[in-house]
Amino acid sequence: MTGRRAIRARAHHVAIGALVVLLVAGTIAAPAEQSPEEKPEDAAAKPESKGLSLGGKAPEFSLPDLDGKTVALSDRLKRGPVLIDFWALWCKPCLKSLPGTDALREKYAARGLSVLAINTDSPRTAAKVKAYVKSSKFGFEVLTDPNGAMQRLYRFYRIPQTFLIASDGTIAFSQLGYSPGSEERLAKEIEKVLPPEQGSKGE
Amino acid sequence: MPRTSLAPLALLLCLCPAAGARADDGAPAVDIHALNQLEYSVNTDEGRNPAKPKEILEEWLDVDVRFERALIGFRYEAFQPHELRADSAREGIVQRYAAFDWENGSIRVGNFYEIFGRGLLFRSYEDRAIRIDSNMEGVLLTGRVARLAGKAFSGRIREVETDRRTDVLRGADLEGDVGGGARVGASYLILSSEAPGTAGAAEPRHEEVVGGRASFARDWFDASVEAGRINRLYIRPEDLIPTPSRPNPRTYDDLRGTGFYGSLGLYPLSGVAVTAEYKDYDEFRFQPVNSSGTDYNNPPALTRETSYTLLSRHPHILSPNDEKGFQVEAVVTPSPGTTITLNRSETNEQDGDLAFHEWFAEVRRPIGERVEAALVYDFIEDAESETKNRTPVIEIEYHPEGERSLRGEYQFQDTETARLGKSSTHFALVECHVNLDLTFSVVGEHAGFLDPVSREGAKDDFVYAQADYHLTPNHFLSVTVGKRRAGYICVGGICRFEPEFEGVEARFVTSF
Repeated sequence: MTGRRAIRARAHHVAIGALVVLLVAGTIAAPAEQSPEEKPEDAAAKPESKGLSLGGKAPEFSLPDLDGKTVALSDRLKRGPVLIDFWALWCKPCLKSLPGTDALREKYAARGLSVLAINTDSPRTAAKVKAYVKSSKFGFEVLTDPNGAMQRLYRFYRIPQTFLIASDGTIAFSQLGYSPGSEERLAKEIEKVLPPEQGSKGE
Repeated sequence: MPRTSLAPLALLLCLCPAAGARADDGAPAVDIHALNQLEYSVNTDEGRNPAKPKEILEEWLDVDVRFERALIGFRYEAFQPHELRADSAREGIVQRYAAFDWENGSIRVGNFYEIFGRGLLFRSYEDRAIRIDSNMEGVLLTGRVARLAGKAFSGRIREVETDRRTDVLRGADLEGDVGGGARVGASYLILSSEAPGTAGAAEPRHEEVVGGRASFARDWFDASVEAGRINRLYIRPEDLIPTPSRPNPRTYDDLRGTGFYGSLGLYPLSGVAVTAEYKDYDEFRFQPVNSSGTDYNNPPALTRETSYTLLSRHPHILSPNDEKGFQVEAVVTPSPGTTITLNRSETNEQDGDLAFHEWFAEVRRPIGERVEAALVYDFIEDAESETKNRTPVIEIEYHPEGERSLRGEYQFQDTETARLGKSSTHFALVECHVNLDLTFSVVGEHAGFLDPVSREGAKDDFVYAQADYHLTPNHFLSVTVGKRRAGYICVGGICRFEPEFEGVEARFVTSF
């Protein structure tokens, strides 16, 4: 019994230790933070990270699209920045975010933005993914990750999770969750990594 | 004395400041990524159920160190109490791996997850919501040549009950693009175990699995089929003894299993999509020797997955040994934001007896610019639990200015069970998004029962509140306070029972 108690106590202490260590560690590692005084609207002016670190190299991947053809991140980066949106059919906020994501694709495709909507549904619901995309008439590329490989690669824990990858392959912005209006945050960040619009004065 | 696990944490502390670092001169640098999830709950209703542990602690820490094309990493886990034994704890480094990839392939040594096709024959995966982790420990190779992609592995799965890895599973899979939107693939797996304690096996246990798949995709339709066969190349001693229910001893032929899955998607008109799926599983469970680990295969269950709480409590539990059935779903999008979903599924046993069937309908549409509403109706009949559920749901979400939103959900469930009689459940949820970083929610549930024998009524009420907050961009905290009803959390025909809870529960996630 004493041994069991010792094991419990050790597990307890280790976990609490881990909590403290990671609080400190994450704070050190966090590249940009929002001060309490900042209004939510102000947050759009600063990039934020909720997964991999900003400025870090986005891990390379290649995944099949809905027709089985393989698409690689590096191939899309040759055209310009890439917006990666992780979603699933069971995730209601994800489904609400997709029309806005498609609108961003329409708006910025001519300036080189690629959108990869990566579906994370398990193989059990894989058959319904194309049906949903087709009925909703989305124009972005949909890739499939049925076994959680991308979740392990990009170390995110919830969806919807969005990463904006600059043309040089670095993570420029990431966002967890969806709320109506968050597309505006995303649009501002996309503008920062795109070349200036032709005819504009370089705003 | 248990192994100490402070070493990886110390290592983590040392390496943290370098997380995500790149050398300023553009030279290659080490990238470190980590994700830590801690869940801790304190029950305050010990008096009502003394067997229930007062405190439950669950901790997962994943750390990856990446240098160019090389990767090393580990996972630390702590469970107090142990998943299966309330009187002990489990903690330690449970996964270690090293990997290297090149342009057309990769090698990974240590723990890994993998899937062949849609998982009919083999799937090693993690689903933390239902506490499934069927990682393998061994070697995994992947490669690609022209239009061919191949995978091969040799590994062992963890058996939860014994905490050991005794089986050896080897597998290979090849898939090719044959052009014109068509793809074909084939898989082969062999399982062997000579470990002691394998139910007194008369001879070393061997199982062989072979299968193939094909898919075809066009713009307006796609189709896929996957089929497999399990050959159990062993006979247990008890199989040789005649019993009243089985007067003749078994032969090798009795121990063969087959599985088939097919799907068809039709997209004939803009905004209309129809999906039809069919399954036929006969003695098709491919499981570890001690049967305490997660199955090696994960055939599609053909049950509808939903995020509505009451709908996910009484679904069908997949039985890969004895079922066949279909699922048909139509999705219509008549205008932007408006979606109509109709779903029908039915599963029978191999002898034709009903196992499960479901009707599901959902209409979701915007009302003006700031309101969205959804109406759902679902009917489920599950033969095994002799349960019928009728569940209507209404959901309304209001978006004022900015990132704020207010969502309300009301679910009602009318339940009939042969054993427990009739009951009804009212479930209400109010969720307030202050912005992307802060959400409050309150959930209330009222359950009423009618005892089938005494015909007396009883009731129970549950209320809990939850707050989700991103303390910083890399720290997420969720706190739940109150009383939550017991129930199943089910995903794709696999369920985990979540006991009744009253107290405080906290979840903390850190990533960098």
